Amino acid sequence: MSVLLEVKDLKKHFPIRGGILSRVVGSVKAVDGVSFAIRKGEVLGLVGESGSGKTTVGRTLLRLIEPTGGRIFFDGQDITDLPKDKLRPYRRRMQIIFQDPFSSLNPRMTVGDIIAEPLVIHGLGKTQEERTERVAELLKLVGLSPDHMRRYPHEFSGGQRQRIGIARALAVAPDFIVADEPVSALDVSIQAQVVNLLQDLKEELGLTLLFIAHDLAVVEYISDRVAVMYLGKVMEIASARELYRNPKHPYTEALLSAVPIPDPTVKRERIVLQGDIPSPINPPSGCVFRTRCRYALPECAHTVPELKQVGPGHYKACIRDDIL
Amino acid sequence: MDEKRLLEVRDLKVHFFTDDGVVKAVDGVSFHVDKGETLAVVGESGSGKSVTSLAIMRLIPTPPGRIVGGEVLFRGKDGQVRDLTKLSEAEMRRIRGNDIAMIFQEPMTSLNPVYTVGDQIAEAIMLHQGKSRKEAMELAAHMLDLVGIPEPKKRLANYPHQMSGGMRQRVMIAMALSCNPSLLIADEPTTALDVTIQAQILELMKKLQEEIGMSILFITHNLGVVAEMADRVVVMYAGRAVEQADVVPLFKEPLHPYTRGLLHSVPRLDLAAEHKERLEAIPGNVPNPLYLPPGCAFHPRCKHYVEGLCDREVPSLEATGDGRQVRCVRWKEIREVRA
Repeated sequence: MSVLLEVKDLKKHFPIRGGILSRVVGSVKAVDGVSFAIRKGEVLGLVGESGSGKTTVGRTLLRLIEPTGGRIFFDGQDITDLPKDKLRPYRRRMQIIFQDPFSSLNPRMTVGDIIAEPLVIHGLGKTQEERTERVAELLKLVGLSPDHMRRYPHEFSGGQRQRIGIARALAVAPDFIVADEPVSALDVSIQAQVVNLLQDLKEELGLTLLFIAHDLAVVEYISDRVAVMYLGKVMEIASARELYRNPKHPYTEALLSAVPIPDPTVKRERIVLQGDIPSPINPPSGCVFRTRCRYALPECAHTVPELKQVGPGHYKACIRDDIL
Repeated sequence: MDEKRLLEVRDLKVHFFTDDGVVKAVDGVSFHVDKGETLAVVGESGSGKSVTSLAIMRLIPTPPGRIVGGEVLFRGKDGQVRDLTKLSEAEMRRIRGNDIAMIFQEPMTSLNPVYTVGDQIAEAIMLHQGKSRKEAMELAAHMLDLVGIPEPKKRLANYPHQMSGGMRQRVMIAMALSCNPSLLIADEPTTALDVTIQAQILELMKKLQEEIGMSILFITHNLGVVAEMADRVVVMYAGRAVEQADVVPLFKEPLHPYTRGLLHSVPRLDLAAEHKERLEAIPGNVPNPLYLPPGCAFHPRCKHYVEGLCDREVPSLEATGDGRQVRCVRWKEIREVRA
């Protein structure tokens, strides 16, 4: 299938200012050379710990944050430098769902107005009646009732609010959605409902998704392919099945082994990573993971490993081929 | 109270008196913790698990909250059993930190940002053990070393903001364990941490428990963490315990429909791919604590619900005969059908 979205060598460095003149004294390398492509109808999972840059990737490729370097292609068009008015038609086709269902909905607007707002902005649904009809349809689509239209966000539970956020994203019939930790703030029993809903919507509407999460288990259920990020870089990318069964990068291996399994009879070897994720202001030279890697060699400090193919559709950024 | 018992909570009731009505956050919860054991209390938001732990420590904000019934029996270091709900604030202060210590979810909000971590650990030691500042600082450094913080002597002079989340949680643990408590209450201690850091902290807690021999009351919503840490488990829903069992039988054969639903809704890394098509979600929402459904609070979400049976009376917590307890009128039928 054809590629819908592609990023090449995407970079986002946030300047750090200091001193009385607020001069730039350094930069936080939140995203540092990330490349991947998402095909039409595909779900790409993007996992990583806090500070890995996964959220910045999601926002940068929608140009909610302007990239420092690299290119973003959407449906064949380079949208990296498009001016605002030319970007608008693309904005309609790319939407976002946020993590926190409490702060991402305006408490003073009714649910109906919240969902209709993108329709108004993009000039879809000419009349009030048309919009109301569309909102009712969207509410049903996400498992709520059209009667909910006149209520306010505070009258809903976390899971229901997340459904409202999803309805808003779907209002303008987008082709591509960035779902940024959409289930992390929800209870386990509700999390499963929302994951299932996203899966259904993807099938029904043929959506393409970038699913960002720190929970590896959730990502596996919904993703076709998964990319693992660490300190602003992609460490490994493969089909979901392959990545979970046969991780090739030491970081992926450690990350998978750190997830506690809900079965007290399962005993397995756990790789406990030492220390914390290093500061993105001053990342380690060479491979950024080497300071916590149990397979690190002196060479790892000298060269930044490129993503290289290690199997069909399977890439890793690690110089060691003699492990895993 | 039985010799090996450290803590016994009997029919605990904590209600919050709000403008909108009475919220029965904890409504008749009973469980016990034995010496050296880890008991996990699991539940989703609003289940009352955190309120239970705060009530044991007598840290319920009053008003609006109040312990309206029940007993919290605790065996102190001196061997005496006391009902913590009846103690004066001064007596309670001697227990907190010394006999029972607590760690919370967000280490940044539980540490004071304007004091060094050394000062904060030493404060508890000076208060409870009557040590001099110098001795307390030495012990504080030893505690930081124990929880795996490199260069502990230097770190004593650090402020909390100079440390990462994982480091701060280690400091909290060092502080909690500095007076050798017999019970550590850990309320979602790893929820705010990344998985790799969570693995470090869980590993550390297990190691320290082996060395020190304290009991742990582990409050969490994460079933993976429960499987890893607990000897026994209490499952809470809407302010009540709905099931209690040893960890292995609970995961192998959950008896309460809620426990079962919870276990099935968790995405799992360890299952074969063919079982991963779809998650089994529990339908509906966690009920509003102001308007709990009549009868079994779980009935509107339960697939085994029978009209006229489940929505009449609150089921009692029944002993199953094999050391487990379950609060469901239909548990026997459901178990037989499955077998």
